[in-house]
Amino acid sequence: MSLELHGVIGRDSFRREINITAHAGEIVVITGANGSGKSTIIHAIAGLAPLYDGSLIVDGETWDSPQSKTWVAPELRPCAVVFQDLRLFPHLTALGNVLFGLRAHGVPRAQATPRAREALALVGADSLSNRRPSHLSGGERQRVALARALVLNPQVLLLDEPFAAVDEASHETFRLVLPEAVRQSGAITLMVTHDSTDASTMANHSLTL
Amino acid sequence: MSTVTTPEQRVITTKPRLGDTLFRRSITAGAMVSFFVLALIATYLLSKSWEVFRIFGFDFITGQVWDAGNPDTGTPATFGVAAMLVGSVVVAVLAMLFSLPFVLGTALFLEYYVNRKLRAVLVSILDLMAAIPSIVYGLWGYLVLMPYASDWAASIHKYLSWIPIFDVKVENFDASPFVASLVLTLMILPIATSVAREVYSRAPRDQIDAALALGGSRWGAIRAVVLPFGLSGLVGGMLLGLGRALGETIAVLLTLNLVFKVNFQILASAGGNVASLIASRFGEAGPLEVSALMAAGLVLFILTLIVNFSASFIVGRTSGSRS
Repeated sequence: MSLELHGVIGRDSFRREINITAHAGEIVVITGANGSGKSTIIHAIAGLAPLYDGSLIVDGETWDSPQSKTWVAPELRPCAVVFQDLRLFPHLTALGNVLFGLRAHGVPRAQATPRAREALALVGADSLSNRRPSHLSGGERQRVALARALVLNPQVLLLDEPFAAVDEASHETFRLVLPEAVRQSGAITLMVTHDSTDASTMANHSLTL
Repeated sequence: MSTVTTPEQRVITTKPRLGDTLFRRSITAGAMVSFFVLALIATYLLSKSWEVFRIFGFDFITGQVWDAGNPDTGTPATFGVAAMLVGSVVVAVLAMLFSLPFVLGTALFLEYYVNRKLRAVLVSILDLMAAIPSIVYGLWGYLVLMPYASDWAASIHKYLSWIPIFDVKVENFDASPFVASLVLTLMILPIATSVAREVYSRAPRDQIDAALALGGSRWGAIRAVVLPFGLSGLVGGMLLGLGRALGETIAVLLTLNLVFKVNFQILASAGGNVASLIASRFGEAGPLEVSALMAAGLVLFILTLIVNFSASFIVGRTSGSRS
């Protein structure tokens, strides 16, 4: 399985030509200055922002190609995203947030709940399962958002500064846990970060904008 | 050892400019006019109805008989608004319940399922519905809807008469609270939909995107994000509709048989509401009955105010907490 993004994101002064090729189980780290278009790449792959030229092909299937007028809707792309601003559902508990994607994919509740609890345990958030986002710290929310994405075993895992708010000790753990989880699941992972240690320790490839 | 000294508090004074002061006073005066008019209406109604409250006391609220009396036979006048008050609430609540699925569906459809051009056309049609005079709804309800609605009511009675509200003593299904509330349903649809649509349009786009990015369908995203976000807006919209339904006069007068008896059997040809009572009796009322009608108006006025304030509070809380 591979992901090939060769295209243009953004318009006018935000126009960027992007070339990314990644394979199953690899982590591509994207770095760059503020406003350079890192998050837009994540959004374009997730189907939340358009490509203005070129194409995005995953596992031989075209997800976005303005020339051939092909576009796969976000909900049909086997992706999972940790957004920079997390976007947890405020009325759901941590467990409810992690369950959402599984339930949306038709996993019965009886099977989804243990999987969601496992994902929360993987990121060290198993004790938070009954708390709503408003009762979580920034770092705790980030763990829940990470669990919400990892639980789906996506083909493409998109992480936009996923560890920005976690404490240093946990960050160190995640640097070991994430590559192992990605390797085991075979997901293609794109991670935006400003952390040079993340880039040097976790990346199979890196892209600087 | 170091000592911490707290600096003296500064005195900050602001002196608004003349333009600001004038603007503030003029808009305050504008806002106060509404309250002033409202207070004037309440005072007028209270002064005109005082006589009735003095004579009948609390029985005016709880009594069901509305009889102007007969000086020739010596029959005393008796006025009680309970039947009409209950009738108002029954018809309005029924209309609210009937309209809820349509309000929900129309608001979501307009906001999330149609393109911009079609939305503009459909919203114009909905706005037009709000502009149609009540008498037109009333006539349509009486001439066109009632024959069909009576048949529907007969069928409901046939199969569900074991439920007390669907039972009737006399099998006449014309001019029932059911028919009147169907007409009111159409009348409150535009205002309730408009409020619900407005609140749904403010649902956080980024969370909808998040739901889609996690594999949620459009309906899944609406269920997970839009509906919880817009719940109090929907309730507020429905309460505003309820406020309109409570005060509706002519459409109810044409489609509901005025009977001065508390009636919870919604298919029976008997009911009423306060506004249609006033409209039907005002022309031939003597001084005491006019006072009683004013008192009925005052009761309706207070009831409508409570409903509308509740709606504004709920809608305001939605916009305040989500902004």
